[in-house]
Amino acid sequence: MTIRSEPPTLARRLLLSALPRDTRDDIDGDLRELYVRRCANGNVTSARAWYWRETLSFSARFLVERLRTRGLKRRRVRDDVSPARSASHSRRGAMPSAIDARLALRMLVKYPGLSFVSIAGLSIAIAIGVIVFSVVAAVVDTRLPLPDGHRLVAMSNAVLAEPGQNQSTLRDYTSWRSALTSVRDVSAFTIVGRTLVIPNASPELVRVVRMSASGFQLARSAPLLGRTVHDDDERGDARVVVIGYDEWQRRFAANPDVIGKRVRLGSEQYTIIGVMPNGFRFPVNDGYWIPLSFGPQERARDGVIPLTIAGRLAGGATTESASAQLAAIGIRMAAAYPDTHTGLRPLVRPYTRAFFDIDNAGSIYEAHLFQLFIGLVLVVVATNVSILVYARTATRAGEIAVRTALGASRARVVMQLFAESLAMCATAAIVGLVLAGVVLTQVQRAAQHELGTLPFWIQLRLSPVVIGYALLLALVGAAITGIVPALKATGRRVQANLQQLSGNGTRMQLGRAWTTLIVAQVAVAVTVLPFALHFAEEVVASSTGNVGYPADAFLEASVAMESAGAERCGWIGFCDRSTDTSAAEQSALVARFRDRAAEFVRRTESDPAVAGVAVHARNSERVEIERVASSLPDSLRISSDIGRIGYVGTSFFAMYDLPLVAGRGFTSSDAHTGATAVVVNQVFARNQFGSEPALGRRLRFVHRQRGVAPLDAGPWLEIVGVVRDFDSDAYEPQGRIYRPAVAAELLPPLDIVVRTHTSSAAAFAPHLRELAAAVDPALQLDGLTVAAERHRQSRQLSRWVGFGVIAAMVSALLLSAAGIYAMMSFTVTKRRREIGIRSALGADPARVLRSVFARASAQIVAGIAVGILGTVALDRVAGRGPVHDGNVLALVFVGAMMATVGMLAAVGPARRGLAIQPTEALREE
Amino acid sequence: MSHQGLGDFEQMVLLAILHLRGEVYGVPIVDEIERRTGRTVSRAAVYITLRRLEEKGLVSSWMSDSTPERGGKPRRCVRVEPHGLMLLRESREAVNKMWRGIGPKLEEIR
Repeated sequence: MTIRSEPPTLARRLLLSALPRDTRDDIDGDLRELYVRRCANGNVTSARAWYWRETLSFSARFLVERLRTRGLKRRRVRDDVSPARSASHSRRGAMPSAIDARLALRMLVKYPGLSFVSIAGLSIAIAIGVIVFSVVAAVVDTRLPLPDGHRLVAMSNAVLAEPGQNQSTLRDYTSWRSALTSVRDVSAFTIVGRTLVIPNASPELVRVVRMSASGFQLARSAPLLGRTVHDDDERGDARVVVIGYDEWQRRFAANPDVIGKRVRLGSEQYTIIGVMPNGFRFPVNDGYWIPLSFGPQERARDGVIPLTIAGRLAGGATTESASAQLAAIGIRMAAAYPDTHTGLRPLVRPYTRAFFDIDNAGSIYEAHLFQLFIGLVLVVVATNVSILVYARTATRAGEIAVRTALGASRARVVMQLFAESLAMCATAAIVGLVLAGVVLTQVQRAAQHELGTLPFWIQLRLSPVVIGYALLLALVGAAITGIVPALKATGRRVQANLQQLSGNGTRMQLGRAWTTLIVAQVAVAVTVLPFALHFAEEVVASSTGNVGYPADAFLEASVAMESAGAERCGWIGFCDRSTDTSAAEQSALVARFRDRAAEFVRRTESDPAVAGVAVHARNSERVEIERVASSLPDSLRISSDIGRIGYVGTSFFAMYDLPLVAGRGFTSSDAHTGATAVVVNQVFARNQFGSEPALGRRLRFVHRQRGVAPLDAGPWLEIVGVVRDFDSDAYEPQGRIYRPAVAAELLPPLDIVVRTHTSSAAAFAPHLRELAAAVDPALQLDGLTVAAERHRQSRQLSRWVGFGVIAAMVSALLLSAAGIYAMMSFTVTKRRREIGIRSALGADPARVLRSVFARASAQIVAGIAVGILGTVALDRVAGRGPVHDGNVLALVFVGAMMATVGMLAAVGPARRGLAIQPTEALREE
Repeated sequence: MSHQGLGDFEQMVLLAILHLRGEVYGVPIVDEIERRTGRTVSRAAVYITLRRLEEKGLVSSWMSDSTPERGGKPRRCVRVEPHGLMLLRESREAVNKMWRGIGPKLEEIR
């Protein structure tokens, strides 16, 4: 019989890399010889496990050996080279050495429980610190990964009457480009959505940047193929497009002959003139660039056409000098155009700051303050760990006393204890960085999903700066966990400990401070942990709840139309181009939209794969809304929340299989202007009318402006039906009011929901895009997604938050439990001799135990009592929490756990105390 | 010239080498210590001790021929040098001196 005699490859590689070269072959041979022997005995699995154990043992020991010999060699060289330097070294003997490092590693292995708990807690604290640091750094960093990127600025006008509101228009662009000398390559862009139609591919809505030719000069990037947009293209309104590298690879199969090909972007045909190099995504995260050109009619309305304007600071110019020049231009513009430029303050900001709308030092200060606050988490955890380390240091008081007696200075001993903590914190930093790396990747993905796109300069990853920050946190952690206990342990009591050495090892006197620490530790755990447990429960429930309908069969999209106005606007979303057109053109566009949208819905409904289509205009009202119930006191008003009103098509309820609990649903007779029927859900009916019937009640919406007196009260509406609770967005249904969607009143964008006959609607998505493009290429399907996918993505984020909270909670619980265990165990150990002597003198063991446990219980009960008071107080302050929400179980669980841990900690030493021989106890005395 | 004494483990390794006959290398040394003391020892610790003993000139080593069951790797055979024998003798004498007269006291304590 042949036996596979090759040791595990990975283990062998690890072993060979850990062994010194001169002894590698013989040890490898010896271990292989033993491995073959073990395999010959028949149990290959156990042989492999043995080989792994030996590998780890050899690796660890030879690592320590290597550190030792290096330290020795260095010391020899120093001593040989300069006796004077050697003398100075002995003076500087307090500095950590290789021996300290070796001892520190040994301590980590020697106390595995303490090391595990401390490293778990510290690594999570460091991970949280690193994540927040990375996010804050990404937001406030002004560097842009472009040539001279740190000198790129964005310019706009702050509206003085509306703080936080910024605007810039075609008029500003024209004026600034010609007058500014402190800013070069002044460029403008606006981002629009266009349906890309290319042969043999499904139409797709893409971001298209209308960018001035100077934008390419600003980014200082040459095209990979062809050319970029020129001023002539801009002036001549040429239908040309430059595409990005990724788009070229993905949609055009990296075809080198792509230049000159024609593609349809919405309602227009464009010719591809260039391909930009890999990584070029300026201005935000873009892949299609077309010239920014305006006709005479648009130029006539230049004061209202919004544009984002950017440029590069000229040599010697600063944001301050550019701001000053822009302010001077602003004064001239206010005089020339009082209708559009009064009450504006020109603003020059670093490009990246403008993206996040950070316009003053205060916001940056707040971000750093937040960072500091998060850093405090580490301080709290480190303080907890320092208690554990202190308990361990206390048991080593004898060793410290002997070292002091042999001539070690206090600084030397402190430095050794610091090195031990540093080893622990450095390990925690490595684990924390790995954790943070995983989480940052997820955060990047989630942010990408939430915002649609992330700017090209945001890369949440472990950069050298972030790693440096983690090491700094490790140093802070080591200072707290190492130096404080070390100073305490090497204080004046060292002499006393030395004197006691001949008696019973040594012990530190801890007294009242120790009792206070135990009580405080239990109290903090009982105060804080129920909150975390409660929060984690909520997050888990929301991320695992049932959505209540077959979301896999539902496709959702927002239907809009080119230039007909869209809700989303800004750097990330597409910009509202309704201002590019006159009022008459706009109303014609809206009429066309209604017509095309209705046609699109009709065609989709008649498709054999479709079970139903419903329109659902959410948030279509732009004013604040509140409701007054006619039959109830005037004071009964629900707070304004426009998300609660849904304008739905007549088939909406049927499509989601929503039964009516009372009354009726909408019919075609309700879908006309002036209709008064509304349907509410059960939560709304219950909240507003209690047990009384909601049917027949009347309500009306009152449009208000900025919180002043109600204006424009709408007509009285009547509740004609109550529908089962349902919410396609939230797992916990909110109160909802449904009104019939009237086709003639709908404005773009319009949300539509398509239910397909198949269980997976994903396959129908390309066809839906084709249907829309066939009705009108200008019709846009934005955010087309299967409902189940949207739910999955939004849950992903809450799930990560949940995991984070649970991980932090478990580590906090472990730390608290370990802290209490260490302190209780230490206290009872101190009484071991007392217990021995009492039992030697004939005391009843039960009575002795009772006295030990009475003291332990008193401390724990006191801690729990203080903790409960703390929870109640925190609950009141926060206005929610475990007590407020009736989740007392979390409180009971944490209290019971702390009590159990405390009692278990007392059992071991008490039992050992009882087992002690009376003679031994007396001799110790 | 002053010299350092032998540690417990170093003594154990040197004595195991002396007990063994034939090709003395890591594998039989570990077996010998475990057999005689009845304790499990860390194999890595034995190899590191052998390296240190060689560095101090207390043992010397040479490579034997390779064998197929060892994947063609040679054995590192060791023997105790005169200096090592001398230190072993000194250690034994020191321990003997310390034990002298302890026997009755041990009985008393028991």
